[in-house]
Amino acid sequence: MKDNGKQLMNDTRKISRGMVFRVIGGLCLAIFLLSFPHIFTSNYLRNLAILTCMWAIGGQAWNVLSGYGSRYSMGHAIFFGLGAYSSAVLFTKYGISPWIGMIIGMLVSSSISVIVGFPTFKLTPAYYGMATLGFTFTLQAVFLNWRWVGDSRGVFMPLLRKSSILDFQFANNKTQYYYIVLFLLVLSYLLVYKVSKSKLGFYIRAMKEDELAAQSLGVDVMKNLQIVGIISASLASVAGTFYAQYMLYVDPMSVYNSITSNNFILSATLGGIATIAGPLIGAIIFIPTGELIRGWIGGSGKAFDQMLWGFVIILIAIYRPSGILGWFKEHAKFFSGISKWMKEPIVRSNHDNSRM
Amino acid sequence: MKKNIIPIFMLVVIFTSVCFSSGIAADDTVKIGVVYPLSGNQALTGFEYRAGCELAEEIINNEHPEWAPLKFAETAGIPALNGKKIEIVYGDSQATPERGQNEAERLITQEGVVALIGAFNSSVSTTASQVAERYGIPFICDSASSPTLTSRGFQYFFRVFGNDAIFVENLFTAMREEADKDTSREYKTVMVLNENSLWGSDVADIAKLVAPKYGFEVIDQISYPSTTTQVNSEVQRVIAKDPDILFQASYVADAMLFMRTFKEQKYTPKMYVYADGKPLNFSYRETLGPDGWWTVFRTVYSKKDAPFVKPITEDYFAEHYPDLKFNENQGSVITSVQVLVDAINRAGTTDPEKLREALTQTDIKGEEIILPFAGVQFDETGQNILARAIVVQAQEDFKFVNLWPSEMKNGDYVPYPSWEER
Repeated sequence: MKDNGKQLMNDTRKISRGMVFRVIGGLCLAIFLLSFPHIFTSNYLRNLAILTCMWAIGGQAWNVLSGYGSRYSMGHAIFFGLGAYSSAVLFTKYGISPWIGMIIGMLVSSSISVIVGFPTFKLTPAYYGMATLGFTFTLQAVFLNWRWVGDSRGVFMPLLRKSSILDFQFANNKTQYYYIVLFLLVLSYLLVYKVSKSKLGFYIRAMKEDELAAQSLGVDVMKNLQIVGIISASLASVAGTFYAQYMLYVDPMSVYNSITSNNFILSATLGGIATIAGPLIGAIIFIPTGELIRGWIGGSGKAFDQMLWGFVIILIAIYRPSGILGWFKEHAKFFSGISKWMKEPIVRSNHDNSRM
Repeated sequence: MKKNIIPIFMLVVIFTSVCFSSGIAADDTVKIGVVYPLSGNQALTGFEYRAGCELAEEIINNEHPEWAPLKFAETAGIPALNGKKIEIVYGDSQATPERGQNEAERLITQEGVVALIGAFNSSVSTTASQVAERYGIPFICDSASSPTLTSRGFQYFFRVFGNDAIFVENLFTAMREEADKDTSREYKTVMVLNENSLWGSDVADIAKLVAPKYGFEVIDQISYPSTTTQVNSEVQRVIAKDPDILFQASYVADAMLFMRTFKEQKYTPKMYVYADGKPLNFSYRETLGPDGWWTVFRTVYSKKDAPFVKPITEDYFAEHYPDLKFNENQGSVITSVQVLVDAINRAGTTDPEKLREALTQTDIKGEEIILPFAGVQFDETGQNILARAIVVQAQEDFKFVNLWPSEMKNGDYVPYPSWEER
């Protein structure tokens, strides 16, 4: 037994080809992401990259609760909207920096998530989806009639002439917006990565497999769902704050609607649910393609982009419910040759060598 | 295996084809960007605007001496630029502020438009005009009427259309005039009934502000969601307050619902006023029939006596767009394009800064445009101060009688009859 353990430890110390590729790939990706605004100097492409990152954060938020976790939210627009409104209202009314607004938005979203969670987490996944969808429209109605937050007129934020990191406005400088959203994206993905590897991550996956079985083994279902809900709501809220500061205008009809929630769901499901990179891959395909198609043929007013998207979604639902990353996982055999080659160690630890 | 490859392959094809399809257009036209909801649930409106854009191109680019004195109808292209033609580039907002922002960005940076026109929805106009302001590109707002838009201190924002403040004032002016003439009844109190979205809330606020100036007292205001399916409690409240004038800002379906419920309850105010052009709507006229007569409303398009109106709206437009009826949407696009081309013509260049300066000095006469405005002149906020509405009463068989302004008046106001009198 002891020997086996040692063997296992030694195995992990080996540096395989896969690890080298991963490191090189990661570095390349990091360099690409960091230098993106310098490679693509068109503000339109930068704008697409910014929106992609924003929706990727939202997709990841949804992924935590509904990909790793077991409750399919159809109302993540709730938290997106709360985040957007928190920072927008605080900034326009009291001049409070949107960065503080972002944190307050996260707190507000988390508390709403907890309050909504107590009755709704007890529901089965499908009913939970319906409840959240209903709550989205409840909030829409509340914000439409709430004078203090600008009712149906929404919140107009002042357009500042000069860039200021404190005020979260950079005039026409898309590069700064890009780095901020990239920073938020990396933070949120690191957080989700940590969660997925933590005890909590294993609990929620166990709950997703079989909630009753997990409960019988001593997993506190409600507590874990609430924690995951808080993480998920906070991330969606961060995306919302960024949206508000980037658009400089928030209104209830555009944030509290099912299109917002669907953007999250589509990015995550297209890329692959319950995977770290899934929402980003999904958003990278989903957002720019949609925008480019609309720019290309949308002017004809024939809604080709929407039809095409409907078609693609149907195809994915039929053939690829597990998303794009799922395709690689499912066809492990097909890639086994490659993966075997990848796993072959190229350097062995000293200890290992001595045993040989 | 094959099955799995199809969707992936499709995505790749779509993505690559889209990526490599950015068109490079010739430089011999002046590009003007427009942002409208061309698809999505407001696509019909977008389609109407698109027809207006095509008509505007026809007016500017080709010689139409028969349409004189409409500005630029007699000449081909922009005179000061040696007859250079205009080209309208379309952006589809799908009525969402985020897409509107993105399309504005695309039109300015990718297509190189000299100015933007748009965007029907106030929310889309907000985000799209921010983009234009930041790039220093003129944004001509042709139909969004929210007063907030011109209060943002933008330098490149110009609104050809009136705003709700102007329109509501026009209505109250006309109401005052008619109230003074009608000695048989006393008009003192006003009740405001508005749907609770952006437009209705704005109108209600302005009405409450403006009413005392014209000697009316607002006794109550009711906001309701336009998606409602029954309005009994609202109607009961109106009956309890019994205002002299009912001032209503509604969409079509809810406006019809109110009228039917009032009929059920056999209630009539002394004057029934709509804040926009409800009786012009086809389904309103068809559904309500005689019940919709005698209401007062405002419009910004009414067939004028100008010589070009019939040849354009009936001969040309009806022939090319048999499904559509010429209305204020086409009128506002055409006027916006004319205003822009006029500025380019005076500036002699498409340089945005010179264009902006030329726009601030715009002075177009009322007879040169198709909208019934007194002309086009911008104040320091970019609002066209000569914009105005026509106040109209729908009389028997939906015969529309202009009540205000006085130079367009073509009939007398008929006091709102009770249900028994009809």
